[in-house]
Amino acid sequence: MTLVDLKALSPFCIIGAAAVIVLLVATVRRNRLFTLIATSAGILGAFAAIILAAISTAPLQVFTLFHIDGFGLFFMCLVLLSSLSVALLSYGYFRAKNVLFEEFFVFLLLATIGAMALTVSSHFASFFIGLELLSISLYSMIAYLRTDARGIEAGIKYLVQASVSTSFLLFGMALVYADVGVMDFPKIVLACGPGGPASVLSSLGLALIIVGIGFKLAIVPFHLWAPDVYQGAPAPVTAFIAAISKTAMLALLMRFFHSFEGHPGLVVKVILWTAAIASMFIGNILALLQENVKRIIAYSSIAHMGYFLAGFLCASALGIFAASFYITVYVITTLCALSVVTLLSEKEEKQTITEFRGLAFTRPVAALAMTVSLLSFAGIPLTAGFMGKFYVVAAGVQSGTVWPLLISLIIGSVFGLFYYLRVVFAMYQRPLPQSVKETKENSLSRAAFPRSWTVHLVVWTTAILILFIGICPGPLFDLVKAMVVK
Amino acid sequence: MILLLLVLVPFTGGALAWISQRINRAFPQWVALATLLVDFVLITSFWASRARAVSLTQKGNWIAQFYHTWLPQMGISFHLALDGISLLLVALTAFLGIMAVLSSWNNKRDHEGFYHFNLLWTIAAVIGVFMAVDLFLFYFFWEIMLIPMYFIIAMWGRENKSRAAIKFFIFTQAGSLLMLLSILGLYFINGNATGTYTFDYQALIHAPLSARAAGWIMTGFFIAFAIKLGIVPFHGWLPDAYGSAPVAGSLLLAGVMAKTGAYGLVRFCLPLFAHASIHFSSIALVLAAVTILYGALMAFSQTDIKYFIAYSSMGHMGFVLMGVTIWGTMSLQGVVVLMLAHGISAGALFMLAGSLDERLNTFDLKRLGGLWADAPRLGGTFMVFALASMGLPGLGTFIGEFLIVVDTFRVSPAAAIAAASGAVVSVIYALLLVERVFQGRKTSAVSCPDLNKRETAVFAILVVVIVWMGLYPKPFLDTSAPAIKTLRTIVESNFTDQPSFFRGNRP
Repeated sequence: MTLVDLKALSPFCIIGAAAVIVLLVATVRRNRLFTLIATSAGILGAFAAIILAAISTAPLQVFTLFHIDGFGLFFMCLVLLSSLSVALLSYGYFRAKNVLFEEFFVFLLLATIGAMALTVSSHFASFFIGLELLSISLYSMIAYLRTDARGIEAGIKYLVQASVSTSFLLFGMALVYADVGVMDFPKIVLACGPGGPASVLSSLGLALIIVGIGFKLAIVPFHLWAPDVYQGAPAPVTAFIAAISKTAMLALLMRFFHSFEGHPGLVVKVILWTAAIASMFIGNILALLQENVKRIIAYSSIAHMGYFLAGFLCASALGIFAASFYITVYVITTLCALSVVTLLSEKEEKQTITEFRGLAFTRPVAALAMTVSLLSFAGIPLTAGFMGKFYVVAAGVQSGTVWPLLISLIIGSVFGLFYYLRVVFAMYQRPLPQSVKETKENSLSRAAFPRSWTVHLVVWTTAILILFIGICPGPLFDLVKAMVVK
Repeated sequence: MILLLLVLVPFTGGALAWISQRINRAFPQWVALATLLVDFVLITSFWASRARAVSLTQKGNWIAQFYHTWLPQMGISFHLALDGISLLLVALTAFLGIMAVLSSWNNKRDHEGFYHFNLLWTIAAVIGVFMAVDLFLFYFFWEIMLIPMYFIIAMWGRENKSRAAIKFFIFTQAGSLLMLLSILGLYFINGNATGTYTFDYQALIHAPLSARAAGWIMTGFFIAFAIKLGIVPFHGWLPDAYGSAPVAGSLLLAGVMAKTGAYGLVRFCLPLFAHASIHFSSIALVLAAVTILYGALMAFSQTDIKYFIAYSSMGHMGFVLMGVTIWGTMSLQGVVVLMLAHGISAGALFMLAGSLDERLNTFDLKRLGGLWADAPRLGGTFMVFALASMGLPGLGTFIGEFLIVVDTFRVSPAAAIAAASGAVVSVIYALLLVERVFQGRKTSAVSCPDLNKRETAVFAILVVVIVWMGLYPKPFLDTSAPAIKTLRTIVESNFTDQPSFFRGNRP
């Protein structure tokens, strides 16, 4: 390992060190604020390491395992910043619940390393290790509140689905390896030749790998776990699953898919097309029937993965750009929505639409931020979501080969508006008399559960970012273009 | 610069109105009124100062422009421009905005601040739509327009409001997404052919389109605009939305938002896709005629004043579509005058319906009757606007419909006859409406107080304007004439080898 390699991998080292420090200090003396500061410092340190060191080395192949390039580093930054937001959210959330949370931050940091590894991995081994690191940490994060039955249920469900998807993935990798005898992406592509794999074995292997990835992304028909896990997990963990684990998987999918230069073979394409169309329809239609805001976000995220795939399947430079831009916007919006849910969780999480009723009267800031994020999900102008959807549609129209996807996107978006506006509408209705009483009681008890500035920080930052990107998308446009498009 | 102000003033005013609620519940409506007055004074003083320039601009370039780069990477700019037609429509929007605020001055409602925020943002977005000449910007404003209006219907409407709001939203959103596809299609075809990727209107006018592509793209635009206008068969949302919205909402929907559809046809559909539109014109004429007759006949069978006005309004929009399709100088002038006059008359009728509702708490025709004795001023005003909506000579709508029908007759007598018979039916229903509400036996035991001073003043202004339009429409015609000439030249330049009027162009 050379010094340059070390420079490129410095973000991993820093996060790893932070995890060890948090763990060691917790054994000696538990201190919540120190844990938060150490975690944030670790994440910011890694972020700084990317900007100062790693980026100057790109593009660089470290062993055969990692390919450090602008694309990977962009998504790594996205993962790190989201992870910082989740850390801030968790601090407020678990402090209000008054539980010990030092170990949670260790898991958070480890999961972050896993996600970071996925964004730059170019080899089955690093892919698999990153994924397992991410999943295993997530099991414990989801079920972290041991007294919460729903949390335990969600944890078990996630465990089962992750194991199933891992077995699919491993079997797929094994099949590909048996056929071509190599495990790093560029060599697999070389062995398969242009136009994707010719042999049945490799095609089947790739298909199984896509199935494994599909489970993690919760695209239809591999989505069944998502609503329960989203609902049962603590709100910050939901944010982690929705934002970080998806970003990392999407980055990997894009790297893998595009190393085939857009032609990974008919089987993979058919699976992705079907999944995209089905996700847009089924995600949006099932979201219509939900009464729980976290479940709505879960189903809508299924639909959003479909929109992402629509941009991604264009297989053009604009398509890659649009998909990356879309992920960025989606991550910010999801963090905003779930940070509002966190903000509303003093003793119990507020989750159902009925509980959101009248929020504009009782918690105006939360209602406003929620409105902004829901409108952004729906893709309304002045919000980031609009620009995201605009680029996806633009990429689709430009390529001229994905009309079925675009039509589904349009029909899906119209459905989508329906349930987003339902939540928004509920927030601006007069609160039910009983909830006014509750609010009064809560505001009395709020002295015991002080509102956390960390959660507020995330709510404000993400909401302002959504509006900023919606009004002047120029800076983000340039950034994504410079980093992602070669 | 003034163009930017015209848009920014209501946007900021809306935010201020929302905030001002925290100080006092009465503040938002004052803030809203002040904001709109400022906007109205801006546009009318601009009109007065440029009146000569407007009518004398022979080349017909924009009267004023505002240009700023926005997202140059994609060829998107913040480009506003004003010609005679947009000027008149912006003035109408600001004027009806004031009326909308005044129409519900004393009503008590939840979220006073948020209500006025939505009102002002709708108006600001509509003004933006009328001035945007960058297609991306146009789409941007077009979309912003929907959300606040959705809230107005869904939160402050009457029975069935959420259903109406959702119907409104889904129809219009589906239309605008189709339009987005069309805009992008146009953008990429033009970009691929010329090498410059831009959303600028002036550049896209000369986009080299194949006949097939132009047909598809034009259809996308047309459907979006037809939905806003409420043309059969895209009208499903319209009666419910007009009927269930609060008075100010109905006023804006019928008065200005429907006009954005007509404006879109005039500004974008025909100039951008001259050939395709001409091929499409026979279908458009049939749709227009059907809409006129359908609106008139449906108005007959209504028992609710607001639904009644909604259907009669649809009929007028049929005339507008007919005038645009004919694309003659006269018919286009008719379209402009009809848009203005209909904005005033439909707006006034919705306000009158609102006044009746305030007094008697019903819109149901069966429960109204014999009100003239109690409220002669109310009845008189109602009579004037009912007559305006049936197109009585001397009132604004007559000028518009007359010009359109005359020009249509030259080209397609059948369509003209259909339109005229629609107008005949409208005479019957308008008189029937007045008769049912104000004549006959008094059915309600509650006494109906007459218009108070505020209302009298407001309606007096409206009556003066509609009579002015009917008797002396010259200022309006003069203002719109150069713009119409330019638009016609643009379309005709695509048909150099063929005679310019419609029939000669038919394949």
